[in-house]
Amino acid sequence: MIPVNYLDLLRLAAPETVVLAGALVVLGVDLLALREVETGLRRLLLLILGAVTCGAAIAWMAAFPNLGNFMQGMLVVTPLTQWVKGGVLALAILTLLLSGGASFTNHWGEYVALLLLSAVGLMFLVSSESLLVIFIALELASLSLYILAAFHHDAPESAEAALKYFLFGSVSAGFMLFGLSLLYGLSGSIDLREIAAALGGPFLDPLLAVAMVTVAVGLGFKIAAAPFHLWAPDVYQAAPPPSAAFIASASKLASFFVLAKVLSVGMGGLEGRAVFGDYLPGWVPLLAALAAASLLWGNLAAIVQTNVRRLIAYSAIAHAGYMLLGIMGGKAGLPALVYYAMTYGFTTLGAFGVASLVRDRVGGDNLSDFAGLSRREPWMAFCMLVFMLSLAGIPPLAGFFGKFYLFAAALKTSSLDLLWLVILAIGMSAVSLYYYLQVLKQIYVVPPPSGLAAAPIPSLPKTVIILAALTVIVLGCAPNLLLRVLAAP
Amino acid sequence: MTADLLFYLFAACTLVCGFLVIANPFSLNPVTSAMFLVLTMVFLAGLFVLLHAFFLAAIQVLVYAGAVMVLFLFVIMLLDLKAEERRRLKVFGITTGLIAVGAILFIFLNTLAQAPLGASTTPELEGTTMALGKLLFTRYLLPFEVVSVLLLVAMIGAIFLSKKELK
Amino acid sequence: MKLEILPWLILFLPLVAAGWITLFTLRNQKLSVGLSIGAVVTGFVLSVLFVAVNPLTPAPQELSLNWLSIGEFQVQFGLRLDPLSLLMMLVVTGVAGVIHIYSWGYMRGDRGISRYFACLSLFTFSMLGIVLANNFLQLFIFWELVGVSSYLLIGFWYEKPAAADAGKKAFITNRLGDFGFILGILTVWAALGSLNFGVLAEKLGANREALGGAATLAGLLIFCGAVGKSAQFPLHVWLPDAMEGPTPVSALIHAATMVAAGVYMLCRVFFLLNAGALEIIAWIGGFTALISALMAIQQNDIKRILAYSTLSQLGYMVMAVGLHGPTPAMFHLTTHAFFKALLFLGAGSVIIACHHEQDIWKMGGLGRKMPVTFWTFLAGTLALAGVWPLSGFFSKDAILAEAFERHHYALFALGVMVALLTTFYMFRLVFVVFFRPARAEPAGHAVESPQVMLWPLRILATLSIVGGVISLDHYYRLQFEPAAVGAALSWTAQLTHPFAHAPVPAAFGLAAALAGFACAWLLYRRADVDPLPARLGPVARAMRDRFYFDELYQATVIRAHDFIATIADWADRWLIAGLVVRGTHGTTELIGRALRLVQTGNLQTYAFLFALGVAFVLWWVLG
Repeated sequence: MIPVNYLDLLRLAAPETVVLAGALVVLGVDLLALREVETGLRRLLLLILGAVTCGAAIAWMAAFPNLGNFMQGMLVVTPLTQWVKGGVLALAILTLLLSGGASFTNHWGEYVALLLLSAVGLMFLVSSESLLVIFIALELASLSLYILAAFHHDAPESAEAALKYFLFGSVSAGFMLFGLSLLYGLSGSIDLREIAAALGGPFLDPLLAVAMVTVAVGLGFKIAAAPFHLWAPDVYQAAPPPSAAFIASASKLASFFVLAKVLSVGMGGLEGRAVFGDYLPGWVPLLAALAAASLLWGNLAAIVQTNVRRLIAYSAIAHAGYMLLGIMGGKAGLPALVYYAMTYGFTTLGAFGVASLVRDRVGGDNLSDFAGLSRREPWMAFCMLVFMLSLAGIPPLAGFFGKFYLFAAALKTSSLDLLWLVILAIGMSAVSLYYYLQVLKQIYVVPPPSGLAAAPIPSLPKTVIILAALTVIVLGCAPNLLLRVLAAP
Repeated sequence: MTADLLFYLFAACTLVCGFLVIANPFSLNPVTSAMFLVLTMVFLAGLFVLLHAFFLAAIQVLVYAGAVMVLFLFVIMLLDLKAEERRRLKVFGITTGLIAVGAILFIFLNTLAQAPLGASTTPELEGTTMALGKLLFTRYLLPFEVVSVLLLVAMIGAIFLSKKELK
Repeated sequence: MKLEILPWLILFLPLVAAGWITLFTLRNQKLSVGLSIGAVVTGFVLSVLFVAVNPLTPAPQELSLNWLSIGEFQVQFGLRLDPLSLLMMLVVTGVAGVIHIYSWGYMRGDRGISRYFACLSLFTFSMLGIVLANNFLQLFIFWELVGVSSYLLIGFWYEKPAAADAGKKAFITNRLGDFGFILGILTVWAALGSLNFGVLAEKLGANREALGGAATLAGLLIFCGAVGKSAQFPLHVWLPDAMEGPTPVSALIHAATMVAAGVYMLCRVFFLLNAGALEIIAWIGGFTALISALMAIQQNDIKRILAYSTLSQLGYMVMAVGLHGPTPAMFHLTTHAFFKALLFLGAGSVIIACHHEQDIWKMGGLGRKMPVTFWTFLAGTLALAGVWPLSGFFSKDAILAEAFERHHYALFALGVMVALLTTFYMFRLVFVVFFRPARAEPAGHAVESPQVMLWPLRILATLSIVGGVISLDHYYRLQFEPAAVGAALSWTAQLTHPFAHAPVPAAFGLAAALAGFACAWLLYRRADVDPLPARLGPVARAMRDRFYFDELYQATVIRAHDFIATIADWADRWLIAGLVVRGTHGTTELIGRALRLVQTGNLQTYAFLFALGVAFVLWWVLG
């Protein structure tokens, strides 16, 4: 009989428990008390309830910072995981509030509950070092996200995109499970640290290489790295905007974190080397190949997009390429990666928010629908300017600093081995400015179509967008605010 | 030795039946597919037995081959799937599928041929209900609980997606 | 160091003004203008005060706050105060102040004047940030910020599509240069482990070979930044197009300060550049100076002539840096800021008087109608032409002398040639615009501009005239050659110093100016149409069409860019979706019939590509 301290588990999993309880309360309240309430008010109450839940979980983590390791890596809570979980929750709050003016569904109880449940999945994903929990948490988060992607009830594209997302997710989950089982078979353990100890050495067993690749496929799907990105443009474009925003931000943050963890903790010592034209098998060359493919494919395909959300999707693929560099940066790259993924999350969430407002007003989110936004909504236009320039990596916005730190970490750790990839990344970020400016050109230069009725835009999403823009600016000017805590030993 | 033979038998049958679920050259009737799925489940249960996981084997048959399959059949009968029967297998789909699967299979087999398969010690097999229950409530408590949340999500999703317009 | 608070105030005042205007006073035009002008003029007064209290000494001072410290990654937000940055601070606040005041007159009545002044203040802040930065990262941040504010200001009249496109072109071309720049910064950081200029200089001072084999490469990569920002060949194409912005913006950003930032940056990191890199820098600078002077000869737009002239003079400065002469480069940068700002503002005055006509062949006879503009413009022209005793003579002579003393006779000859061409195209401009009767209706009714625009001209004209004899080179020498510097010369001694010190270059320079003037006199004194195309034929056309660089880029870079993008999109859109009949989206018959979707080729293709991807990655890793 293995002795278990259940109280210990509860203490460590308290934030997740709070959010889970919140999700159940949301479902219950919606079913029991809000059936007869008018939709707008019902939506507001439920969204606020959800946001308060996430806020409570954040407050709990701040007030009771319990650290520890439950059952050999089943649940590992460190200051860094606390911060990443805080990031996931913050993004969840913003996503919830962003939905404030939306009208894509009437089932707000289910919507909020599923969002919270996917946040629970992502939180477990972040703080586990056990293959089993990682896989289950990944499935929990993914399943919720599939449904969230299908939430647009009267839009067939939404259902189709969700189905694509689901089928791809299942296939990549299959690959991942195969890889995990190989890992277990080779090492006899499901704890990442024990696996690393059992595998040891720099020699790469072919079976281990297969395991490595298939695990990378599973997570590469989640982070939308080329060539496993095919679902992303369709889902980003067709899913309800807040769902897409959540998929693009929080889910990406957690997936990147777990990919970094699986590789650098579970396969420490198997890095290999990726000098251009001369490589030693390992996960660094694997990631380098994925990163190069994502950078090229994402940035080049983004240039010709005419739909803003599709454009953001391709740019997200490109950004996955940048972030992969952070994983290759090893220990020094981890804070850079988390900083980048978090700020990227805020940026892309804001961009989706603006796209969603435009869509509600003009009826579409093609580039031409953004024409003259600056004259109709100067504040939203300015926020979009901030987001686009940050994505393009223009200082002093967070996007620039994130990239700089990421590149610096990758170069330093690999002692210039990865210079070729950094050159490619910087070159591609110069290319990316081109399509981000296309969006800004529409917003600032092209005159608005005539005959567009002036209607007030809902204040909740507007506040969220401005908040996101402020975060991007502040974290760009003072990156130390976040980096200091992320890099704390 | 017998166990090894049985393993290969069950594994091969699982694969063949699994293949016939999705692409049966003789019948396009969904009910046939469903029946092959039942067979797949049964052979899987056989594999569990070989691993001394008797509880899982029983559950596999009871839940999947039994309850879940009944639901499947209900759905198939309720939906109008005439079109499904008329559908031809597309050359494009088959070729691309074969190429892709063939490539991955080739690489896997190649790897397997190279891999130094060490004589791993046979782990202690214990699949009784009691042992399983003990593990589920001690060491694997957390994943067990998370799975329950996963099921909740699946339930919400199923209800939400299948209902036409709920109030 | 006394009054340490002042540099911070000077730096942040314009930012505060920009923020305040954007947030609160966009509707109150008078207040916005006042705030913006107040901020920069106060900045200038405080700069003077600061320099008066703390005399210039070679020893650099640093004021810094800890901005970032993560493990070994330490970056400060700091101000580096040495003769170079302090003088540049005076120049920037001074010229910017004058141009701010001028803008008040120039932009009067424009709807977006508040926005204009907010951008201008933002620009001033960013430019001061470049000047005062004490490390590479901070420099790069402000470097990009000036790019953004220049983008905003070029595209200011965004109803004009040409203006919007020009802004975009400038921004993207600059990004190409910055691609190299940031790589250079990363290389320096990876090799030396610091980004602080002081620390880097110390490390390189202790060990010249600290950068090892990467020295030339790092130098050239950093130079890429200057190529973009200072519009050197082959990235020079953006600057002439940037003239679509309002004229005071051209004066401030695209003549006096921002484009000079590249040269300033090279001087700031001069210690990093080795002989190999400098040689290439010198030739690129010289080449740019020559081709843009040639292009200037056949332009007809008054602002474009000045733009090409700016390109040419920037090439001169870059050449000076490449000739191991940061002192003459900075000297010329400073005097150029005075007279080129003056010329642009003069051109702005002319343009306003002619109701936004910019073609010089539709002007004429303005000398008599606009006396102040004419005389000040003439002062600027003489200074640019390098006529003794105006400022341009001294700074240009310093560069020629540098080339001569280093026995770089090829570049010396090139410099003299450019000096000749410069005088020629400038007097072509002066003759056509200010003499002869008016050639078009608006020019006939031209009247002198208001005093608020004339006073800036007078101030800048004074500076252009006396700029050569106020010991500027002495102070810059304090920075770059503290060992060789003697006592400051009196102004009379400075007047004759070039002839005593290096008579050959001085004589060549004056002769070139004279020859250029003579050619212009002969050809354009009585011209009503340009006589050159008839005489030179295709050569003149090539000059007018800027040697077809834009067309070349259009045909190669941009086409290739579009082509690759289309291929990539095609791959995603059609290879995936279109192998079978359907497009990316489900057709309506599929509503609610999710099961059917599984059969569509669309998804099969996706799955096929996915599996192929997996196979490829497996193959790659397994080797």
